[in-house]
Amino acid sequence: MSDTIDQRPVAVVSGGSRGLGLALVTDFLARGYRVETFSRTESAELAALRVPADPGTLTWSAVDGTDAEAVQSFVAAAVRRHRRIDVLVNNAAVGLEGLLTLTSPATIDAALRTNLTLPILLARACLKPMLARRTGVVVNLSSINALRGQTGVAVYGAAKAALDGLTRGLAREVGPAGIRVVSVAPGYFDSDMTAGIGPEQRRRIVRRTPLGRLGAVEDVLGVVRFLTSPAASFITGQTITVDGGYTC
Amino acid sequence: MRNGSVIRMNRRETVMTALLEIVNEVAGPVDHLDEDQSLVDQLGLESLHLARLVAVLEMELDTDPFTAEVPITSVRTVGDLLRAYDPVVRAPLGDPA
Ligand SMILES: NC(=O)c1ccc[n+]([C@@H]2O[C@H](COP(=O)([O-])OP(=O)(O)OC[C@H]3O[C@@H](n4cnc5c(N)ncnc54)[C@H](OP(=O)(O)O)[C@@H]3O)[C@@H](O)[C@H]2O)c1
Repeated sequence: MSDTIDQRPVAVVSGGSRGLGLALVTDFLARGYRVETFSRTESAELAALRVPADPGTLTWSAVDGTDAEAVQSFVAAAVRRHRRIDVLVNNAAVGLEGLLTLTSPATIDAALRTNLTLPILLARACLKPMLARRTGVVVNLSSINALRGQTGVAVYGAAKAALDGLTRGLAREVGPAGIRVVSVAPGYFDSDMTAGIGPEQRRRIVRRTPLGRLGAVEDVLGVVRFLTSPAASFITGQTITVDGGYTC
Repeated sequence: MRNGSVIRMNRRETVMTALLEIVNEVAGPVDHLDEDQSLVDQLGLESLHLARLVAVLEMELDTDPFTAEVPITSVRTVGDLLRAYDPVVRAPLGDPA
């Protein structure tokens, strides 16, 4: 085993401790990937996915995504370990709600660093081993808030819209090297991020959704699975909306 | 000191090998490059080729001189590239465009 090169593909997932990130890590492992993930805190669910006999299968690091140097070191360690990165999923993000004029500049800055600067820096670092091998997929988790205006989430929506701009620009930039870049824009799905949505708002969302329910992590997961598979090998530079028809 | 010059020579060779591989792919079979050859105008490299070259070299040498020290725009010739990766001589490079 030790002198044969590990042929398993490698996925980097930001924010793998909870919610969609945890589901993505689980799914990539089930698909035979080695996974590198980080978050500020580990969860019991993520720890349970570790394979003690083969520690290289899943690596978690404690990294605050607002620390650019720590993010850089995280990717450098992943590349040293595996010599390749096949998939990057820019999943980590923080929710930010409130009228703009009532939100402090420091809060805005922190949210932009996690929701925009972090995915840009991760793309910059992970694209290098992808360029070297001339293959790879970057998936950016956007939101329907990038596509439709909504009160209280202007800054969150601005960061997500910027991420879609990154998707389009990078798709052109690295397409000739065989690398695809896509965005997935989910509607509301159940996770810690949406735990604060009250019953009345929930009913309103369901009423406005043609498919008549909130999303689930699995709905988004299936689309990421498709986009990172050979079935999607001619899709790049697009934002795929997964919202039960909410924005149609 | 001796050890240092061996490292320099090895690095030079690594950079040359990686460059030759990409030039071969872009311009057809070439087995020798001159230091004064222009990467873009004479060898036909595009910016994405340079990005790939820098990525390959970062994996091999664990360093990317263009992250901080050297602007990539100052690399015009084969010699500029070799100097950018030289642990001793990081200058002088041509003027940025
Ligand atoms: N839930 C929705 O309805 C919804 C809708 C549209 C789009 N999205 C997008 O889908 C993605 C996943 O959302 P989710 O609902 O699964 O979120 P979540 O349950 O809140 O999980 C977010 C993950 O990101 C990590 N994270 C947050 N800030 C971080 C930081 N500064 N450094 C490192 N890790 C950090 C968290 O771990 P730690 O807290 O331990 O750091 C956690 O693992 C996000 O991009 C989100 O914007 C969600």
